[in-house]
Amino acid sequence: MKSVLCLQIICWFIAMTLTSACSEDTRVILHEAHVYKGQSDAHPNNRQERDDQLRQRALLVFSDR
Amino acid sequence: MARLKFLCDEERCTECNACVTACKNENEVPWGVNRRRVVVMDDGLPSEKSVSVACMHCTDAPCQAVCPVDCFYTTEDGLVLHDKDLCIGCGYCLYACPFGAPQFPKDNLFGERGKMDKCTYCAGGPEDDHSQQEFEKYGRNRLAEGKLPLCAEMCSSKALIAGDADIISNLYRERITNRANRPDFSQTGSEQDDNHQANRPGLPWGWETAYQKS
Repeated sequence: MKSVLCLQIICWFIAMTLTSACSEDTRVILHEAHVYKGQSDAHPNNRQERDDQLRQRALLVFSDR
Repeated sequence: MARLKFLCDEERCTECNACVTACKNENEVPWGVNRRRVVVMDDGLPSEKSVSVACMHCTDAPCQAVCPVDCFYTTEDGLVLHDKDLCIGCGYCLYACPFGAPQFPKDNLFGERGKMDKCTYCAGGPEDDHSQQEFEKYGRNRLAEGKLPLCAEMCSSKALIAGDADIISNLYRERITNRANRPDFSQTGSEQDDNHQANRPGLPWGWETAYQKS
């Protein structure tokens, strides 16, 4: 009796281990045409500050010397 | 408002492929995926030109228009990026893109097409800046560090330029103006006048000297 119970637990454990690989992300996304529903891509620093930084970088790197 | 763009000056590109190597190295792009490549036109002819091509981050991007799961988004800087968690790897974007920018890994089991990969303008993706997930999915985020894409920054002849559209168009305009004043010794005076009148450029400057043709 004890061995049958032990066998049942082992079988249950094996079954759970095997089926766990089938579960993926359960998040459901309802798509709407031309609406992006992914993660937002936020930048921590100020927009103007970043623009100025990139402008200076472009002039520094690409200007003919 | 900045609109970040690439511009490749075909008169300067020497087909060295350093941009391709830099991109692959910086972003650890998987084998078989080329976010950037150099296209050669009229190979071996006097009119030979090379252009480095990647995602051009179109203002009205066709890939974005055809994506059935809308995994593309346009950033404030005008960059067209995508979320790999939403991508289903259908390949519609590849057919829509006129530049062949979307790439798909080919080493999956049974030839399954994986998630789309393309040039991110070294701006990473929607994950947290400088996170491990961002690097593994999209590559380095140089823009968050105040740097421009490495392919353009390390171009030795400054053929590939990147940055705000206003700045790079000004740089290119200055180059064109300087080139217009450059004498073309490969042609006689009358030929130059004829070509100038007919608005036809002659051979590339220096071509005759480089190839020792009289």
